[in-house]
Amino acid sequence: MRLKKLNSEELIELLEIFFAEYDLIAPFKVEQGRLNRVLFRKIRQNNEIPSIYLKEMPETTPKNFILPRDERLDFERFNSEREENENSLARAKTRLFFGVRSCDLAAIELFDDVFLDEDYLDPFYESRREKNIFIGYSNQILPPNNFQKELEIGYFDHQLAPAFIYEDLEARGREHYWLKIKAGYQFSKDVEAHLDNLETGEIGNLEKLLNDWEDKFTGETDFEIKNKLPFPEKEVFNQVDWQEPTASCLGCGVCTYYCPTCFCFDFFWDGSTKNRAWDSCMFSLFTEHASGHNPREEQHQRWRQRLLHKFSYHPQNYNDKPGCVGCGRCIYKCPVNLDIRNVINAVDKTLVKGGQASEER
Amino acid sequence: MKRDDYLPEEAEIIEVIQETGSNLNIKTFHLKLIGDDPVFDFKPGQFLMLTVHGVGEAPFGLASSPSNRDRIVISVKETGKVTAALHELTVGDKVGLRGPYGNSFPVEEHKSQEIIFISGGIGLAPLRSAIDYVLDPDNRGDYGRVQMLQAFRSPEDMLYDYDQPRWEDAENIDIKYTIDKPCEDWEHCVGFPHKLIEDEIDCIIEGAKYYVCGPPIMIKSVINELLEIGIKPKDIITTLEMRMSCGLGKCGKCNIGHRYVCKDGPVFSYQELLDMPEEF
Repeated sequence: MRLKKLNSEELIELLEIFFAEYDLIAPFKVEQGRLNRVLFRKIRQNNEIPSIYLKEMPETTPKNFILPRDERLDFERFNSEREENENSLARAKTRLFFGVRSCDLAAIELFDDVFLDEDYLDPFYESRREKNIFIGYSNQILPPNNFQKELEIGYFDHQLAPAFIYEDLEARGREHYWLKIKAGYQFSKDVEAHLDNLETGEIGNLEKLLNDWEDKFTGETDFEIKNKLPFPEKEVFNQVDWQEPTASCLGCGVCTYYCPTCFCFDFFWDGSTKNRAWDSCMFSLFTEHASGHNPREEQHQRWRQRLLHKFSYHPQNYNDKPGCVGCGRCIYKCPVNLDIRNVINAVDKTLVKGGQASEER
Repeated sequence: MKRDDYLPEEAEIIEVIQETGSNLNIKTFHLKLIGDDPVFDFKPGQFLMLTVHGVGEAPFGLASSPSNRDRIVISVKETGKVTAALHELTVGDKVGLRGPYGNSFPVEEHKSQEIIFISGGIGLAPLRSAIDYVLDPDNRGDYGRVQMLQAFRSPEDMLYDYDQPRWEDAENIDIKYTIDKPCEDWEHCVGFPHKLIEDEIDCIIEGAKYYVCGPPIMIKSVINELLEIGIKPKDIITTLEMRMSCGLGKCGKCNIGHRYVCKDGPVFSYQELLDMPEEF
């Protein structure tokens, strides 16, 4: 493991080197009317680099680049001469995603479980997943409503990221940024040469800093998932009062569109071209049959699906791994302040009452 | 590792049969794959995803016997956008096909048993693949007596009039037909199938398997009736319908609990359904 210390100017220089070597994708603060939004964008010019904005959790995640909101399913690439045409979606450059939160990295891992599955491989996903580097990010501010810790996702590292950058918002100078690069990982030659010029940091100092941050985060979150995952599907499906905690839901689907783990999709046609787009279980048409029969007619049934997909069905299908990474975006983005943690609490309470509480976590 | 790129293969419509009478809403399509490998291997109970180019894609249960590998048969009721567009097509027109997907009827496990098919309307279509499999001269000896209770709205809504004589003439078979309301010149049963099971079918408790398919409400009432008689949940087999996009357990639409109808189904025993949330 290598540790480098950087000040703001040195970070910008490092990002300029990244930009020269890779397709650099990073969060930006974007003004949209009266809204300030932080979104992942591809950097197009060097002078955009100082505008990269890391301090707040971005609204979007690398999901938009790996499983795009809509995409053309390319007939050309997947015709009989597959081998020869393999490159039409392939990129010349590796993409470098800078400033990705650990929960969002966990979400990409979850996508890999689904789309690079042993018995099924999604070639469109696979091609977008090739040649990506993720550099993680954390500072001492817990993102709003974040509960990733309850899902056993650490704040300060993730196996998908060969490097992680920590920003101490209170420090100045070279104590400002800490770049950790995992043992054995090498960037390109130019990047490495640049890294050599940077001051090496003391691991012990960083560890102390991160421990302080973690303690602070722990003090801020009091949410708890009492029952072990996966939730027992039949009991939870039938016994929880789903209507009461979800009654204010408008069915807008914002929670699923901002969710870094929601992967449900639909196909649509543009002339004779088949496309794929994100879909949402919060919409009535998601399950409505052509006959008009709908297994989920009411909004609370759709909420039940969303919650149980993440906390019961997905973990059952994928080695007990939850289908939620606790980023908190669905809570933050909800127009009626519906909080998934309250609905999880309702499940927990029901299981305890019914005497079916599985062992405490 | 299976690689599926969601993109259909080209197929040609080689025959269109108008199944129903005055309302004209069910047609059977015979299709053939175009290309180097026109063979379409499947098991009874599986389904395919059919694309009407420029309109959309939808799942359809295979209605043909798997022994007949040169023709892919589906029966389609006009209900939505894709089915309406498909009904406009005719012999020579091209469609897209993907599949086959899903599990299959447990016909292999049910060898030496009696089989009872209970269908409601177009629910007979997916059962046809199992019926033709069981009645196939190569397989007929492997199964006991076959009974059928076919329910339709009216005589005009009956399906497969060209198959019925062949089925009726098969060995050791007993077929009953029913319609919703009495009408002139109808010599068969009248009433919903669940009301007729006890009187019209020789309900064997041990050593018989019940294959049920139809609209969700019909499946539910028939199953309740079978349970009432004492049939065990494991001996009741049904095939479910769900809205779906991919057919591969990824798009997230057709799940019931943690199972996907496209991948873990569409065929389930009632025993399996009992362990699943009731959401279909």
